[in-house]
Amino acid sequence: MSNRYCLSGVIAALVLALSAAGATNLAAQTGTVTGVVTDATTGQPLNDAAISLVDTDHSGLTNISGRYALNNVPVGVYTVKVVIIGYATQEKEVTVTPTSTQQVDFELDISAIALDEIVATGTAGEVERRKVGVSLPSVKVDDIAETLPVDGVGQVLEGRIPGVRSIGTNGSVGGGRELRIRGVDTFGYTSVRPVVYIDGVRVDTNKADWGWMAGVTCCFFSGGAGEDRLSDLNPEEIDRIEVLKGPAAATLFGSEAAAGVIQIFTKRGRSNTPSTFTLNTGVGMNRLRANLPTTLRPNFRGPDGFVPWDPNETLIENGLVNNYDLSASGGGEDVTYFVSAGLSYEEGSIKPNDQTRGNIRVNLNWTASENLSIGLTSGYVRNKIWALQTGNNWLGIYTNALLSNPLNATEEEPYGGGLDVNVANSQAIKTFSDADRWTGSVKLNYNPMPNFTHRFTFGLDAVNDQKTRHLPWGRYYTYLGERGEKNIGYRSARKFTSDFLSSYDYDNMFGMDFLTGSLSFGGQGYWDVGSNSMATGQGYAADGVTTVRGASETIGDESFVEEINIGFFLQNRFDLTDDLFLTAAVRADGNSAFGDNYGFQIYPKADVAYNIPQAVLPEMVSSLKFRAAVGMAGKAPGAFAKFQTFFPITVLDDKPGVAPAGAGNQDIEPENKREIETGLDVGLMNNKIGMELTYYDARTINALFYLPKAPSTGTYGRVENCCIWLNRGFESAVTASLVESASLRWNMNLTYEWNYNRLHDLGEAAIDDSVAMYTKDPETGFWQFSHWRHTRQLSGWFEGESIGNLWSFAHEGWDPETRRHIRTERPFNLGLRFPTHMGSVNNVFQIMGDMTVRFQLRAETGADMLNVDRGYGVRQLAYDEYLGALNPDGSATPASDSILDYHRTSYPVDSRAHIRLQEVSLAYTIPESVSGRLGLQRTTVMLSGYNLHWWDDCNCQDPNSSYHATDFTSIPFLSPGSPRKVQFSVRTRF
Amino acid sequence: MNWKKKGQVLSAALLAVTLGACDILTVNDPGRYTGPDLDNALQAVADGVEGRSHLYVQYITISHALLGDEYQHTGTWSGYDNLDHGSIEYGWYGYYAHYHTNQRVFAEQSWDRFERVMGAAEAASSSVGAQVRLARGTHTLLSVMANCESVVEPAPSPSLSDTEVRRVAAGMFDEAIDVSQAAGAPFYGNAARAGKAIALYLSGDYAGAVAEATQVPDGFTYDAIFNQVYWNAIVTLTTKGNNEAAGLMYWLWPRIDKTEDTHSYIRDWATNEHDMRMPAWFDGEIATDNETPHYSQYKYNSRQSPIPMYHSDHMRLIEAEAKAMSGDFAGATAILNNLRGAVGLAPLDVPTDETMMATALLNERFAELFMEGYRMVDLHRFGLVRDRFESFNDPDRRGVGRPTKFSGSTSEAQYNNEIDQDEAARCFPIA
Repeated sequence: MSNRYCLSGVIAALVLALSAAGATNLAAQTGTVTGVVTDATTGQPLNDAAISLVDTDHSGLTNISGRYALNNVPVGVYTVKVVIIGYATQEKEVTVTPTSTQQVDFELDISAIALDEIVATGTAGEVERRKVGVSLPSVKVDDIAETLPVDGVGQVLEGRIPGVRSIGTNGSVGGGRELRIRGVDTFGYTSVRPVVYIDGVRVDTNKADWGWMAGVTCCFFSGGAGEDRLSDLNPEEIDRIEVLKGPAAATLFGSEAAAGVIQIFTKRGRSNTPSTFTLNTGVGMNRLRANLPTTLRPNFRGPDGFVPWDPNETLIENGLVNNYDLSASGGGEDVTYFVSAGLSYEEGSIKPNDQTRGNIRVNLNWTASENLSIGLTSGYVRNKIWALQTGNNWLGIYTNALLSNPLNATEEEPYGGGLDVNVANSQAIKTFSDADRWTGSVKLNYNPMPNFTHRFTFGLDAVNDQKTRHLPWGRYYTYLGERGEKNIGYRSARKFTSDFLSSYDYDNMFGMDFLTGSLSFGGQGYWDVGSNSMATGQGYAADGVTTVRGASETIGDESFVEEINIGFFLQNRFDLTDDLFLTAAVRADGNSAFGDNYGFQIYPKADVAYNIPQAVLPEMVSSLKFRAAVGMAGKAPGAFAKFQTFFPITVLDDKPGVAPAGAGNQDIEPENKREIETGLDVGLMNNKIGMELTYYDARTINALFYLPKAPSTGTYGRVENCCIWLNRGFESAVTASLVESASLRWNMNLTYEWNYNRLHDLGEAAIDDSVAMYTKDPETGFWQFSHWRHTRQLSGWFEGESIGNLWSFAHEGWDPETRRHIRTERPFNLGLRFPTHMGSVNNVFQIMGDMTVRFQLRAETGADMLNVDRGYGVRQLAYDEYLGALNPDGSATPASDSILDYHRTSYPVDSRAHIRLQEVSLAYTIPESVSGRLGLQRTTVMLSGYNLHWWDDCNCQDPNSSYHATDFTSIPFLSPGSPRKVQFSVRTRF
Repeated sequence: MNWKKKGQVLSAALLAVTLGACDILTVNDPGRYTGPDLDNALQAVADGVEGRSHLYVQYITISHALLGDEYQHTGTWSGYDNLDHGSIEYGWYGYYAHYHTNQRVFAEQSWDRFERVMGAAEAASSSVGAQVRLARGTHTLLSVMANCESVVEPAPSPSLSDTEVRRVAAGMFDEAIDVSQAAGAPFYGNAARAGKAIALYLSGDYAGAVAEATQVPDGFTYDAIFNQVYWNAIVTLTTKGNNEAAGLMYWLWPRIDKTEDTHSYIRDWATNEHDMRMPAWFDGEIATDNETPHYSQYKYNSRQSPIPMYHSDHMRLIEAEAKAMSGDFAGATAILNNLRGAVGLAPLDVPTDETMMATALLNERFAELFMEGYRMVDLHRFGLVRDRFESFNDPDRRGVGRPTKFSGSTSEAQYNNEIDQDEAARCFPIA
């Protein structure tokens, strides 16, 4: 029986089980609880406050006017509780009588700490944050979007959560961003990108450019910086994002969660709420910062007297940004809905490059009975990107414009001779990505008893990405000549998720006080299927035909991966007292990628949360929670790494042949990470100041590593589990309400993180070796050999080194006789690729209740880069550093020769440290007395800037630039950094 | 039992049956063959083994041309820059050695598969057997074509000098000849004889080499074949209209005519005639380093252009050199003139001394084996690397201290316990 049928069987069984669990709707006498929730200082209504009747299933959310309504509440006495991030929780008593409507209003005070917030990620079921022993940050996207245009998930996570690194690394629209959590502690055989769920469904997060198949002439589809599938998501559909940073928190996610988990929750309608429409529209522009090192070019002349072009002046243009989003939400007694549609268009600053994205979402919830509810989510996106040819790419627009020697400039080649391809020819390449994606889920909540709940989730994320690239006939391209080429690629990714969770809350079991808590158990199944196929045609007779079939040479290629994971878990939370909570859990995973000799992987976890009773706290300390956790999560090996295989190859005169492929390893295990996390959540001065401090110490054990073998054994090596990485860090977030008055409110959020990793143990195969240590002369800048550090080495990795070490040769001195720089005899560690210290400052000023000003500064230090871009630019006689030393007529000078020789001898290392003005926005909410005349509710106009400026000493365009589609931080090679963006937006409801 | 209960029981049973009836964690890789699959694909196995022996010939040629005096670096890659300037250390380009060492093992494993599936006798008289036996010898020979050491047994096994490895290769070619004869496959037999001749010739065994070379008929050629997937990198990386990361070295430039529309030929060393054995193209274009004129080889001009590996003209050159070494300058010159005459060049006069004879041999080998990967081998063999490069008086390309061969495979050394880990104890010939 194939797996497809197996899974279908399982799903059918579960659906049948659910159908059989039909429930009886008990009739009862009921009433309604309603009210308004407002800010105690300003009186402004609070949207999305969570209202619940304690110890019941009755709950809801406030609308934009702060109103809520809980219907069909059985008669009785209840505690109404309101929870919202940023405010202190309040509770009030209410007595419900038959057919009555009870008004319970709340005026909430600001609170910088949110221990009563309900979190859903990383725990078995929803639970208050105060009961959880790990750091579980979340971002309320909907709130941010009220005063700041949000372009994507990546931007939301940028600089807001310590430990989460989400930065723009590529200046092309639709290009990839870097996303990782708590640094890097793997050799690279597993991804450092966290797994992402949307409404409980695991989704595709690919950003690798996958086009290097089927004999393409060069450089994937667009140079390596592929389309980031996270850019498919429309932030207007997102309610909040929760983040699990490491294994201590993510244990229940098992074999893919070692690098963390990001849960995205889309918006829902509210019951008993009339339809509310939200319209969001914006217009603006992208523009790359004009700091390319080519400003001196116009000072020179080409052979015919032509004045060379400076890319700062001619390549960088304004790129239009435009978006429209319309959504409607509301609900009746039993059914709620959220429906949205969005259309966005964005041009890059270097053209041709644009993105057109359309999103549609329908989220429905049906309360079928008192104990059964069904939720449906359905999101569709069409994302069309005209990709920018960039990066380490012979065909790149940016590449060929930048690496041009102005002394060769002519009217036909105005930037200079170009690296090889005329910039106009680069711009004539048509590179499209056209992706369809549907992500949907069915979620069934069956609660036979208030304290015994079951949740079933079935979901699918289906991505179809068709890419094409056309290199027109008659134009010259490296490796191809003028023959013309067409590439078509199709990528299909299917991720099926099935999830079952049961929770049983017990109280004073067997009459014993300490036997209070919650027992949970469940299981998950994931089935990931991916395939790529490509066709290439090369050699056309003339212009006009652009089909692959029309080429004289055609070739096809395809690849396929499949991975299945099944896991089961058991968790118990002991509520030892009202303040002390202990949770223990274990998960067992089986995965198709594990070696047949290995079996199931067990992941244990435990955490404790202790909320110090307020009575014993000093007056200025409002709340204090200690938390500690230990847990383990893993990363599965490559889907087929366990198989010994032979790959088919085309040999001789296009004959079929075979050759050894993977050596196989039936003992292969997941790469596991153990983590200890401890921390404090502190509220000071009546919770006006909140602090979260977290220290983590993780060990990647059984790290997946390509263990080389002597070639004479018939294999070059195979992937094995061998080594141990250490990864430690500290994270802090301080949130403070610095000024709080009716006319001015100033909230500030500071984040800081430190991260450090080290290769601790290379295992038995390592050999004794030594690493050359050099020191830098601060006066000359030359490096001198210092001593040998004795250590162990395996395949070029050294114990005691960081994964981000920059290994390279450097300059040892200058020989005045030969007038040449002297290169060090050996490569050595010149710095660290990843930042060690990162921080941000987020300020929000609310002025006179209507005006909001917010800005974010982000900073990082500790990281260096091998500045290949700078070195290449000089070696190609193209950058100002070299041009500035030439004679006015362009002839060489001793200084220019020295600069050239310096860069030919070795690449320079420059610092990535910088401070960045990441976000600025000015938002004005039009008084309802005005907007109301137009039939509008809350209406806000916003002027915002993104990535406006940065201060650095990197000798580069942008220290965050990274040319390759990786989350490991690659060199800033011929890839534009993120553009500046300015936008004007209007957001209104009606 | 009510419907709810029935449903629950039914669903539990369905779940149990479903999970129990299949191995839900089983996946297959449709893009790869398993070992048992190959028992039914012996021809594909043989073609794969033979085809893989053709790969990397192009890279050996490029890297040796850069280290020697055929090519200079004209692109952006620092690796090519370093090769051109002779600034390489232990381990550089050792992957040629470890590729061929590794692939030789697949040839041996494939032979074992043939014997198991076909039976030993049938394998020893099969065409597929001849293919893998030839490939085994070729891999062994190529493992030391540009490198000074290799191994011929699976690790742990000692490292052997290039000369020792060539002798082992000669023995392997003998086995290939035997199988080819038994299989009635003269094409592979001639290739194996040529391979053996080269192995013995490069080891200094002229008599043995000539004995094999004379049996290779005129007109025979065995080429490294490229296709739509595996390209001739000499074209894609170093030829006009492609990457142009390397170009012909500047001492050749005066012998190349500038031509806009089509390629030309390097002029003959002796008569200044166009030598059709050395197609080249220069149209005044600057190479990708933005400053060097790109003089391109044009012997190979499409991605599928084959590279001669074993051919009769090379055999004749071996015969000529053997005659020269025995003092028969007239006999040697007659062979060279036959080769020259075939491309319309005027004959050479018979040299009157050893120096002139060596010059004639070297120049004729340069022309006849143009871009086939032998120029640096010859400079190394004749001990000419230092003088040749010093004669350029080029501070960027000093002869003194210039490596004349690459060292052995570093990965073989590191993971083969029989090989001394001390690099200084191993080979890395320097001029």
